[in-house]
Amino acid sequence: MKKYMIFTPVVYRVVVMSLCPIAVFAFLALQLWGMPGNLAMYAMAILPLSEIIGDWLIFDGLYKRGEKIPRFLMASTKGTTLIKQVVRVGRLRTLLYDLVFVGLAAVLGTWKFWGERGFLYQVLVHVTMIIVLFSTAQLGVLITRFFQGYLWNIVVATSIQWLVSFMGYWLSEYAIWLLIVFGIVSILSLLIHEWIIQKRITEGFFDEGYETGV
Amino acid sequence: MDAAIEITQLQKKFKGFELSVQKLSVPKGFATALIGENGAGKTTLLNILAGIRLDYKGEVNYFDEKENDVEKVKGQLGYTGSGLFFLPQWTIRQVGEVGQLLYDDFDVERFEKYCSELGVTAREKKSKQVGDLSDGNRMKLVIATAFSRDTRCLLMDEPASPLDPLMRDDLCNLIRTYLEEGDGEKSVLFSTHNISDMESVTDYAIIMAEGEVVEQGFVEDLKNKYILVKGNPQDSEQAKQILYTFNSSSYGFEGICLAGNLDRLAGMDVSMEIPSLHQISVAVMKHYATLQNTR
Repeated sequence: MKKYMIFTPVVYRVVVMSLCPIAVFAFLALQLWGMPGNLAMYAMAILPLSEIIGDWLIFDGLYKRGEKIPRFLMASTKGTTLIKQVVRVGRLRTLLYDLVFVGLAAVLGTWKFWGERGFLYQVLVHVTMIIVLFSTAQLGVLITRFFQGYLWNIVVATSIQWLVSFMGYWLSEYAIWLLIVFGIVSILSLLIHEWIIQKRITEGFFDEGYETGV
Repeated sequence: MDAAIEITQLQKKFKGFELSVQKLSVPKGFATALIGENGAGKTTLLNILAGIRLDYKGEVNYFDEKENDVEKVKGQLGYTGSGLFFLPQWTIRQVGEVGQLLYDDFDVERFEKYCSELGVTAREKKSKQVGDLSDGNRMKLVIATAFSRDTRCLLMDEPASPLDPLMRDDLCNLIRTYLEEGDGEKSVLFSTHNISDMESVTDYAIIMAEGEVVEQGFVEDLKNKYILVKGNPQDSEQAKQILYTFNSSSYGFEGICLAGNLDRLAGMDVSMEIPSLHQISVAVMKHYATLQNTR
């Protein structure tokens, strides 16, 4: 975690890691104090949005073809391991944030409806919600790392938010199907992250157009 | 001569370019300049030596210990280069923190001292991002990271190029101090395509052209081997046949002559001077280009 924190700029720590979770609680508080509308749902959408846009601050264009791993990292025996660890911890932190903040938002924001469809079904809906948000954030981050510049992050994050909104409508009806689909998306995103980072690191040590038969 | 690095039959081909070094030794305890025009293969060679390019054939041994696994000696090598050296969104402070993660011997206090002495943090805040620094300040930051560790050999790719003349002088002093503190055990290999500013610190020179090492030796030996000759216009045609490189004008001719050919200039009204390393390098590269063109 310490290594990951060193990679994160102050603005990321303030906005993505602190202000956005605080905003989730602020929305929740408003909901609990009787503000109309489903504020908890809006609150949950903040997290994947901030994760995708905020990723630009740490790993802008990391998976872009032809972009190499910084030479400062390549010249050290620990460099490649370090960047893999940092990328992995970043994903783990996203999952923890989704579990804690989205989980809490989901439970507190919808507790009064729990009696309608049964406890187990509500648990299923909430787990699905967390998986949907985690997988879409991972998918968005995965896509944006192929591009450089924050505009791509904004475009992808907005598209992902639309996707999440649609999922929100279907959540209570098709929870089990969404869980399966987005569970697969989560696993695939995680595997592709691993594959791409390893590929980019390996490519970093070889010039493009290298003739292996020398 | 003890070698910091020894290269044998090194080959690499990519994008129509071929690096081919049959035998090369970087002497231990000295500052070695890797000289060549753009595209000569200096960066490719340095990248291989620093272990950030693995796509080559041949053998590279480090520190006279017949250690040819670069991963085992990376901790003893300091590397500076251009291009994507740090992530552009890192701040100056983060560079120091990442340096501590990457190297056990990275001294963050020394890093801050060098940043201050080189003028990086004198003009810029530590919270400034690498991508927002000028080329010169970015190179100073790279240099500060290399000197913040206890290394045995520094590999520096064009360290002087983005620096102003005063900073180049400071860089020469840094290299000289590093070698003196090493007491014969530390070595520096730096590349340059303009040797003039770094000549004062150069002990040994390796001249490259089109992926090959075309000359190498201690600067004093090279200055004994190559002699700068100037003469009158009437001797131009005769001197042209003898000189290694030749330039003429209406005022006379000038060129580099191999010491072994000096007696062939007998009878001509010529003056002789010790050439600068810059003049030797240009002559060797020109001569190589002429040979290539006549093949």
